[in-house]
Amino acid sequence: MRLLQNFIKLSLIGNIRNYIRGIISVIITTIALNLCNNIIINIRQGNLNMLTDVKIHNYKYSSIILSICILCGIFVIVQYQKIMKTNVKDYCILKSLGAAGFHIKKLIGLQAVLLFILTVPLGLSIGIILSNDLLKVFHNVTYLEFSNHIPVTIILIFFLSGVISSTICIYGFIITVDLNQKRSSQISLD
Amino acid sequence: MVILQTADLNKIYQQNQKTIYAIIDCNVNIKRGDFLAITGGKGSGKSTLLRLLGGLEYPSGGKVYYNHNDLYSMEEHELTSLCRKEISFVARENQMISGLNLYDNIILPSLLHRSNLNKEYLKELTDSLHITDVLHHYPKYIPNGKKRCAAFVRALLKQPEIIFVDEAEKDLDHQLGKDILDVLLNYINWYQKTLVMVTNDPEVTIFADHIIRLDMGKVEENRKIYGYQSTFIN
Repeated sequence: MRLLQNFIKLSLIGNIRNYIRGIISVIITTIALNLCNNIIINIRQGNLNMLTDVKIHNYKYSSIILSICILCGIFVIVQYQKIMKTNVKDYCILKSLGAAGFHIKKLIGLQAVLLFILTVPLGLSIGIILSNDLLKVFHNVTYLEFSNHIPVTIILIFFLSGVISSTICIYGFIITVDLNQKRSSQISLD
Repeated sequence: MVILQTADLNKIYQQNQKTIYAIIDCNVNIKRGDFLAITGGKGSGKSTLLRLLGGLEYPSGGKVYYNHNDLYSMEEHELTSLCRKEISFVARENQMISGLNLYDNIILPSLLHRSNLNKEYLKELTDSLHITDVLHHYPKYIPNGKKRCAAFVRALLKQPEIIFVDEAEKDLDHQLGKDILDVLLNYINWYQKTLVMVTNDPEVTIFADHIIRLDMGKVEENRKIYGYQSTFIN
Protein backbone atom coordinates (compact mmCIF):
# COMPACT_ATOMS: atom_id res chain seq x y z
CA MET A 1 0.00 0.00 0.00
CA ARG A 2 2.81 2.37 0.95
CA LEU A 3 4.59 1.53 -2.30
CA LEU A 4 1.45 2.32 -4.30
CA GLN A 5 1.10 5.61 -2.40
CA ASN A 6 4.69 6.44 -3.32
CA PHE A 7 4.08 5.56 -6.95
CA ILE A 8 1.00 7.80 -7.04
CA LYS A 9 2.95 10.60 -5.34
CA LEU A 10 5.77 10.12 -7.84
CA SER A 11 3.34 10.13 -10.78
CA LEU A 12 1.57 13.29 -9.61
CA ILE A 13 4.28 15.44 -8.02
CA GLY A 14 7.12 14.40 -10.23
CA ASN A 15 5.16 14.95 -13.43
CA ILE A 16 3.41 18.31 -12.99
CA ARG A 17 5.44 19.89 -15.79
CA ASN A 18 4.62 16.97 -18.08
CA TYR A 19 0.90 17.32 -17.42
CA ILE A 20 1.04 21.05 -18.13
CA ARG A 21 2.97 20.38 -21.33
CA GLY A 22 0.44 17.74 -22.36
CA ILE A 23 -2.53 20.03 -21.67
CA ILE A 24 -0.96 22.88 -23.65
CA SER A 25 -0.19 20.64 -26.64
CA VAL A 26 -3.78 19.32 -26.67
CA ILE A 27 -5.14 22.90 -26.43
CA ILE A 28 -2.94 24.07 -29.32
CA THR A 29 -3.89 21.10 -31.48
CA THR A 30 -7.61 21.47 -30.73
CA ILE A 31 -7.58 25.18 -31.59
CA ALA A 32 -5.52 24.59 -34.73
CA LEU A 33 -7.79 21.81 -36.01
CA ASN A 34 -10.98 23.68 -35.22
CA LEU A 35 -9.82 26.92 -36.83
CA CYS A 36 -8.39 25.22 -39.92
CA ASN A 37 -11.57 23.26 -40.41
CA ASN A 38 -13.68 26.41 -40.22
CA ILE A 39 -11.42 28.31 -42.62
CA ILE A 40 -11.59 25.46 -45.13
CA ILE A 41 -15.39 25.32 -44.85
CA ASN A 42 -15.45 29.04 -45.62
CA ILE A 43 -13.14 28.59 -48.60
CA ARG A 44 -15.36 25.77 -49.82
CA GLN A 45 -18.43 27.93 -49.53
CA GLY A 46 -16.62 30.72 -51.40
CA ASN A 47 -16.86 33.12 -48.48
CA LEU A 48 -13.29 34.36 -48.61
CA ASN A 49 -13.25 37.08 -51.31
CA MET A 50 -9.67 36.70 -52.38
CA LEU A 51 -10.17 33.04 -52.98
CA THR A 52 -13.66 33.05 -54.57
CA ASP A 53 -12.14 31.99 -57.87
CA VAL A 54 -10.71 28.98 -56.20
CA LYS A 55 -13.13 26.12 -56.18
CA ILE A 56 -12.23 23.34 -53.85
CA HIS A 57 -13.63 19.96 -54.75
CA ASN A 58 -14.62 17.51 -52.12
CA TYR A 59 -11.52 15.36 -52.49
CA LYS A 60 -9.22 18.38 -52.21
CA TYR A 61 -11.10 19.54 -49.13
CA SER A 62 -10.68 16.08 -47.63
CA SER A 63 -6.98 15.92 -48.48
CA ILE A 64 -6.35 19.36 -46.96
CA ILE A 65 -8.17 18.35 -43.78
CA LEU A 66 -6.24 15.07 -43.73
CA SER A 67 -2.90 16.87 -44.12
CA ILE A 68 -3.76 19.23 -41.27
CA CYS A 69 -4.84 16.29 -39.11
CA ILE A 70 -1.59 14.46 -39.86
CA LEU A 71 0.51 17.53 -38.96
CA CYS A 72 -1.42 18.04 -35.74
CA GLY A 73 -1.17 14.32 -34.99
CA ILE A 74 2.61 14.39 -35.48
CA PHE A 75 2.88 17.41 -33.18
CA VAL A 76 0.90 15.66 -30.44
CA ILE A 77 2.85 12.40 -30.88
CA VAL A 78 6.20 14.22 -30.58
CA GLN A 79 5.07 16.06 -27.43
CA TYR A 80 3.76 12.92 -25.72
CA GLN A 81 6.81 10.91 -26.76
CA LYS A 82 9.02 13.50 -25.03
CA ILE A 83 6.78 13.38 -21.95
CA MET A 84 7.03 9.58 -21.73
CA LYS A 85 10.84 9.73 -22.12
CA THR A 86 11.35 12.19 -19.24
CA ASN A 87 10.52 9.45 -16.74
CA VAL A 88 12.99 6.87 -18.07
CA LYS A 89 15.66 8.00 -15.60
CA ASP A 90 13.31 7.26 -12.67
CA TYR A 91 12.60 3.79 -14.07
CA CYS A 92 16.38 3.14 -14.35
CA ILE A 93 16.91 4.25 -10.74
CA LEU A 94 14.08 1.97 -9.60
CA LYS A 95 15.55 -0.92 -11.55
CA SER A 96 19.00 -0.38 -10.01
CA LEU A 97 17.34 -0.40 -6.56
CA GLY A 98 15.92 -3.83 -7.35
CA ALA A 99 12.44 -3.04 -8.68
CA ALA A 100 11.04 -6.10 -10.43
CA GLY A 101 9.48 -6.03 -13.90
CA PHE A 102 5.96 -5.88 -12.51
CA HIS A 103 6.82 -2.87 -10.30
CA ILE A 104 8.05 -0.91 -13.30
CA LYS A 105 5.09 -1.99 -15.46
CA LYS A 106 2.71 -0.92 -12.68
CA LEU A 107 4.37 2.48 -12.47
CA ILE A 108 4.44 2.99 -16.25
CA GLY A 109 0.79 1.94 -16.48
CA LEU A 110 -0.22 4.27 -13.63
CA GLN A 111 1.66 7.19 -15.17
CA ALA A 112 0.17 6.50 -18.61
CA VAL A 113 -3.39 6.43 -17.25
CA LEU A 114 -2.88 9.60 -15.19
CA LEU A 115 -1.27 11.33 -18.17
CA PHE A 116 -4.27 10.54 -20.35
CA ILE A 117 -6.93 11.34 -17.73
CA LEU A 118 -5.36 14.59 -16.58
CA THR A 119 -4.36 16.03 -19.94
CA VAL A 120 -6.85 14.96 -22.61
CA PRO A 121 -10.27 15.94 -21.16
CA LEU A 122 -8.95 19.18 -19.71
CA GLY A 123 -6.96 20.06 -22.83
CA LEU A 124 -9.87 19.28 -25.14
CA SER A 125 -12.39 21.24 -23.04
CA ILE A 126 -10.16 24.31 -22.81
CA GLY A 127 -9.21 23.99 -26.48
CA ILE A 128 -12.84 23.81 -27.64
CA ILE A 129 -13.88 26.76 -25.44
CA LEU A 130 -10.93 28.87 -26.62
CA SER A 131 -11.47 27.98 -30.28
CA ASN A 132 -15.18 28.94 -29.95
CA ASP A 133 -14.15 32.31 -28.54
CA LEU A 134 -11.61 32.77 -31.32
CA LEU A 135 -14.20 31.85 -33.94
CA LYS A 136 -16.59 34.47 -32.51
CA VAL A 137 -13.82 37.06 -32.68
CA PHE A 138 -13.09 36.15 -36.31
CA HIS A 139 -16.84 36.35 -37.08
CA ASN A 140 -17.05 39.82 -35.57
CA VAL A 141 -13.91 41.02 -37.32
CA THR A 142 -14.38 39.49 -40.76
CA TYR A 143 -18.19 39.07 -40.91
CA LEU A 144 -17.60 35.61 -42.27
CA GLU A 145 -19.49 32.53 -41.15
CA PHE A 146 -17.45 30.95 -38.40
CA SER A 147 -19.26 28.54 -36.17
CA ASN A 148 -18.52 25.47 -34.20
CA HIS A 149 -19.65 22.33 -36.00
CA ILE A 150 -20.73 19.74 -33.42
CA PRO A 151 -19.98 16.66 -35.59
CA VAL A 152 -16.53 18.07 -36.32
CA THR A 153 -15.95 18.65 -32.61
CA ILE A 154 -16.91 15.06 -31.83
CA ILE A 155 -14.59 13.76 -34.57
CA LEU A 156 -11.85 15.99 -33.16
CA ILE A 157 -12.32 14.55 -29.66
CA PHE A 158 -12.12 10.97 -30.90
CA PHE A 159 -9.19 11.70 -33.20
CA LEU A 160 -7.04 13.38 -30.53
CA SER A 161 -7.95 10.86 -27.83
CA GLY A 162 -7.06 8.02 -30.19
CA VAL A 163 -3.71 9.51 -31.23
CA ILE A 164 -2.68 10.34 -27.65
CA SER A 165 -3.75 6.99 -26.15
CA SER A 166 -1.95 5.08 -28.96
CA THR A 167 1.23 7.14 -28.44
CA ILE A 168 1.14 6.55 -24.69
CA CYS A 169 0.52 2.80 -25.12
CA ILE A 170 3.20 2.34 -27.78
CA TYR A 171 5.89 4.28 -25.92
CA GLY A 172 4.95 2.66 -22.62
CA PHE A 173 5.39 -0.73 -24.28
CA ILE A 174 8.73 0.25 -25.88
CA ILE A 175 10.08 1.52 -22.55
CA THR A 176 8.96 -1.66 -20.75
CA VAL A 177 10.61 -3.92 -23.34
CA ASP A 178 13.80 -1.83 -23.21
CA LEU A 179 13.94 -2.07 -19.43
CA ASN A 180 13.41 -5.83 -19.56
CA GLN A 181 16.18 -6.40 -22.08
CA LYS A 182 18.88 -4.02 -20.91
CA ARG A 183 20.50 -3.35 -17.57
CA SER A 184 19.68 0.01 -16.01
CA SER A 185 23.08 1.60 -16.72
CA GLN A 186 22.82 0.81 -20.42
CA ILE A 187 19.45 2.50 -20.66
CA SER A 188 20.60 5.61 -18.80
CA LEU A 189 23.76 5.72 -20.94
CA ASP A 190 21.57 5.56 -24.05
CA MET B 1 36.12 -16.95 0.94
CA VAL B 2 35.77 -15.30 -2.47
CA ILE B 3 32.49 -13.43 -2.92
CA LEU B 4 33.10 -11.84 -6.30
CA GLN B 5 35.43 -12.76 -9.10
CA THR B 6 35.88 -11.93 -12.74
CA ALA B 7 37.29 -14.03 -15.56
CA ASP B 8 38.72 -12.19 -18.59
CA LEU B 9 36.18 -9.41 -18.24
CA ASN B 10 35.88 -7.11 -21.26
CA LYS B 11 33.76 -4.12 -22.12
CA ILE B 12 33.70 -2.51 -25.54
CA TYR B 13 31.69 0.57 -26.54
CA GLN B 14 30.91 1.65 -30.09
CA GLN B 15 30.77 5.42 -30.41
CA ASN B 16 30.55 7.27 -33.73
CA GLN B 17 32.10 4.32 -35.63
CA LYS B 18 34.91 4.28 -33.09
CA THR B 19 35.60 1.27 -30.87
CA ILE B 20 36.40 2.07 -27.25
CA TYR B 21 37.96 -0.69 -25.15
CA ALA B 22 36.78 0.34 -21.69
CA ILE B 23 37.86 -2.83 -19.86
CA ILE B 24 40.41 -5.34 -21.20
CA ASP B 25 40.90 -8.84 -19.79
CA CYS B 26 40.21 -7.97 -16.18
CA ASN B 27 40.74 -10.76 -13.62
CA VAL B 28 39.91 -9.88 -10.03
CA ASN B 29 39.13 -11.91 -6.90
CA ILE B 30 37.35 -10.14 -4.05
CA LYS B 31 37.15 -11.83 -0.68
CA ARG B 32 34.20 -11.54 1.67
CA GLY B 33 34.82 -8.80 4.23
CA ASP B 34 37.42 -7.02 2.09
CA PHE B 35 37.54 -3.36 1.16
CA LEU B 36 38.62 -3.16 -2.48
CA ALA B 37 39.72 0.24 -3.78
CA ILE B 38 39.72 0.74 -7.55
CA THR B 39 42.04 3.57 -8.53
CA GLY B 40 43.29 4.99 -11.79
CA GLY B 41 43.41 8.09 -13.95
CA LYS B 42 40.49 9.76 -15.70
CA GLY B 43 38.99 7.48 -18.35
CA SER B 44 40.83 4.40 -17.14
CA GLY B 45 37.60 2.42 -16.81
CA LYS B 46 37.06 2.52 -13.02
CA SER B 47 33.34 3.35 -13.10
CA THR B 48 32.77 0.89 -15.97
CA LEU B 49 34.42 -1.90 -13.96
CA LEU B 50 32.32 -0.97 -10.94
CA ARG B 51 29.09 -1.12 -12.98
CA LEU B 52 30.07 -4.49 -14.45
CA LEU B 53 30.85 -5.90 -10.99
CA GLY B 54 27.60 -4.46 -9.60
CA GLY B 55 25.35 -6.04 -12.22
CA LEU B 56 24.34 -2.74 -13.80
CA GLU B 57 25.79 -3.36 -17.25
CA TYR B 58 26.28 -6.42 -19.45
CA PRO B 59 29.94 -7.17 -20.28
CA SER B 60 31.09 -7.60 -23.89
CA GLY B 61 33.11 -10.64 -22.90
CA GLY B 62 34.18 -12.65 -19.88
CA LYS B 63 32.27 -13.50 -16.75
CA VAL B 64 31.47 -12.09 -13.33
CA TYR B 65 30.87 -14.66 -10.59
CA TYR B 66 28.97 -13.73 -7.45
CA ASN B 67 29.22 -16.49 -4.83
CA HIS B 68 30.40 -18.78 -7.65
CA ASN B 69 27.26 -18.05 -9.74
CA ASP B 70 27.64 -16.37 -13.11
CA LEU B 71 25.95 -13.02 -12.56
CA TYR B 72 24.97 -12.37 -16.15
CA SER B 73 23.75 -15.89 -16.88
CA MET B 74 21.05 -15.48 -14.25
CA GLU B 75 17.48 -14.85 -15.26
CA GLU B 76 16.45 -11.21 -15.20
CA HIS B 77 14.24 -11.69 -12.13
CA GLU B 78 17.05 -13.51 -10.26
CA LEU B 79 19.50 -10.68 -10.98
CA THR B 80 16.90 -8.09 -9.94
CA SER B 81 16.24 -10.03 -6.74
CA LEU B 82 19.98 -10.06 -6.04
CA CYS B 83 20.15 -6.27 -6.55
CA ARG B 84 17.21 -5.87 -4.24
CA LYS B 85 18.57 -7.98 -1.38
CA GLU B 86 22.32 -8.41 -1.47
CA ILE B 87 23.86 -5.71 -3.63
CA SER B 88 23.82 -1.95 -3.10
CA PHE B 89 25.18 0.56 -5.54
CA VAL B 90 25.93 4.21 -4.85
CA ALA B 91 26.57 5.90 -8.19
CA ARG B 92 28.52 9.07 -8.83
CA GLU B 93 25.46 10.87 -10.23
CA ASN B 94 22.45 11.93 -8.22
CA GLN B 95 20.15 8.93 -7.99
CA MET B 96 17.28 10.42 -6.08
CA ILE B 97 13.82 10.23 -7.61
CA SER B 98 12.71 13.85 -7.90
CA GLY B 99 9.00 13.19 -7.28
CA LEU B 100 9.61 11.69 -3.81
CA ASN B 101 11.00 13.32 -0.69
CA LEU B 102 14.27 12.11 0.80
CA TYR B 103 12.61 9.82 3.35
CA ASP B 104 10.54 8.06 0.66
CA ASN B 105 13.63 7.73 -1.52
CA ILE B 106 15.53 6.10 1.34
CA ILE B 107 12.84 3.58 2.28
CA LEU B 108 12.02 2.70 -1.36
CA PRO B 109 14.18 -0.48 -1.48
CA SER B 110 12.53 -1.83 1.66
CA LEU B 111 9.10 -1.15 0.12
CA LEU B 112 10.13 -2.93 -3.10
CA HIS B 113 11.46 -5.84 -1.07
CA ARG B 114 8.41 -5.79 1.25
CA SER B 115 10.77 -6.06 4.21
CA ASN B 116 10.33 -4.50 7.63
CA LEU B 117 11.90 -1.13 8.01
CA ASN B 118 14.57 -1.00 10.70
CA LYS B 119 13.69 2.46 12.05
CA GLU B 120 16.38 2.50 14.74
CA TYR B 121 19.10 1.73 12.23
CA LEU B 122 17.65 4.34 9.87
CA LYS B 123 17.75 6.95 12.66
CA GLU B 124 21.31 5.97 13.54
CA LEU B 125 22.43 6.37 9.91
CA THR B 126 20.60 9.67 9.31
CA ASP B 127 22.00 11.10 12.56
CA SER B 128 25.55 9.98 11.69
CA LEU B 129 25.34 11.65 8.29
CA HIS B 130 23.41 14.74 9.50
CA ILE B 131 20.41 14.51 7.19
CA THR B 132 17.64 14.08 9.79
CA ASP B 133 16.53 17.70 9.36
CA VAL B 134 16.03 17.41 5.58
CA LEU B 135 14.32 14.01 5.42
CA HIS B 136 10.96 15.42 4.38
CA HIS B 137 12.32 17.79 1.76
CA TYR B 138 12.34 17.10 -1.96
CA PRO B 139 15.68 16.47 -3.73
CA LYS B 140 15.26 19.64 -5.80
CA TYR B 141 15.59 21.78 -2.67
CA ILE B 142 18.50 19.95 -1.04
CA PRO B 143 22.25 20.45 -1.65
CA ASN B 144 24.07 17.69 -3.55
CA GLY B 145 26.08 16.71 -0.47
CA LYS B 146 22.95 15.85 1.52
CA LYS B 147 21.48 13.93 -1.43
CA ARG B 148 24.69 11.94 -1.60
CA CYS B 149 24.43 11.15 2.12
CA ALA B 150 20.84 10.01 1.57
CA ALA B 151 22.06 7.69 -1.19
CA PHE B 152 24.48 6.10 1.29
CA VAL B 153 21.76 5.72 3.93
CA ARG B 154 19.50 4.07 1.32
CA ALA B 155 22.30 1.71 0.30
CA LEU B 156 23.19 0.68 3.86
CA LEU B 157 19.65 0.42 5.26
CA LYS B 158 18.95 -2.96 3.65
CA GLN B 159 22.29 -4.29 5.06
CA PRO B 160 23.60 -5.66 1.76
CA GLU B 161 26.30 -8.31 1.42
CA ILE B 162 28.32 -6.14 -0.90
CA ILE B 163 28.24 -2.41 -1.47
CA PHE B 164 29.62 -0.64 -4.53
CA VAL B 165 30.50 3.03 -4.25
CA ASP B 166 31.60 5.30 -7.07
CA GLU B 167 33.70 8.15 -5.63
CA ALA B 168 32.42 8.45 -2.08
CA GLU B 169 34.09 11.85 -1.65
CA LYS B 170 32.30 13.55 -4.59
CA ASP B 171 30.14 16.58 -3.66
CA LEU B 172 31.17 16.24 -0.02
CA ASP B 173 33.31 18.42 2.18
CA HIS B 174 36.29 16.90 3.97
CA GLN B 175 34.48 16.25 7.28
CA LEU B 176 31.40 14.72 5.66
CA GLY B 177 33.61 12.54 3.47
CA LYS B 178 35.32 11.26 6.61
CA ASP B 179 31.96 10.63 8.31
CA ILE B 180 30.76 8.59 5.36
CA LEU B 181 33.98 6.59 5.24
CA ASP B 182 33.65 5.91 9.00
CA VAL B 183 30.08 4.69 8.52
CA LEU B 184 31.09 2.44 5.61
CA LEU B 185 34.12 0.97 7.38
CA ASN B 186 32.15 0.38 10.60
CA TYR B 187 29.48 -1.35 8.57
CA ILE B 188 31.82 -3.73 6.72
CA ASN B 189 33.93 -4.48 9.82
CA TRP B 190 31.00 -4.97 12.16
CA TYR B 191 28.86 -7.09 9.84
CA GLN B 192 31.73 -8.72 7.85
CA LYS B 193 30.46 -7.31 4.56
CA THR B 194 32.35 -6.31 1.44
CA LEU B 195 33.00 -2.83 0.06
CA VAL B 196 34.15 -2.02 -3.47
CA MET B 197 34.93 1.63 -4.01
CA VAL B 198 36.22 3.74 -6.86
CA THR B 199 38.50 6.39 -5.40
CA ASN B 200 41.76 8.21 -5.96
CA ASP B 201 41.86 9.72 -2.49
CA PRO B 202 44.95 8.47 -0.59
CA GLU B 203 43.12 9.15 2.71
CA VAL B 204 40.62 6.49 1.63
CA THR B 205 42.95 3.97 0.01
CA ILE B 206 45.02 3.64 3.20
CA PHE B 207 42.08 1.76 4.72
CA ALA B 208 41.75 -0.65 1.77
CA ASP B 209 42.59 -4.35 2.05
CA HIS B 210 42.98 -4.71 -1.69
CA ILE B 211 43.91 -2.09 -4.29
CA ILE B 212 43.53 -2.30 -8.06
CA ARG B 213 44.95 0.35 -10.34
CA LEU B 214 43.54 0.61 -13.84
CA ASP B 215 45.14 2.24 -16.83
CA MET B 216 43.39 2.42 -20.21
CA GLY B 217 41.04 -0.41 -19.20
CA LYS B 218 43.79 -2.81 -18.07
CA VAL B 219 44.68 -3.82 -14.53
CA GLU B 220 48.15 -2.32 -14.11
CA GLU B 221 48.51 -3.08 -10.43
CA ASN B 222 46.70 -5.54 -8.17
CA ARG B 223 47.89 -5.73 -4.58
CA LYS B 224 46.59 -7.04 -1.29
CA ILE B 225 47.43 -5.27 1.95
CA TYR B 226 48.18 -7.44 4.99
CA GLY B 227 48.74 -5.19 7.99
CA TYR B 228 51.79 -3.11 7.07
CA GLN B 229 52.77 -5.34 4.17
CA SER B 230 51.41 -5.39 0.68
CA THR B 231 51.65 -8.22 -1.80
CA PHE B 232 51.48 -7.69 -5.50
CA ILE B 233 49.21 -10.19 -7.19
CA ASN B 234 50.26 -9.10 -10.67
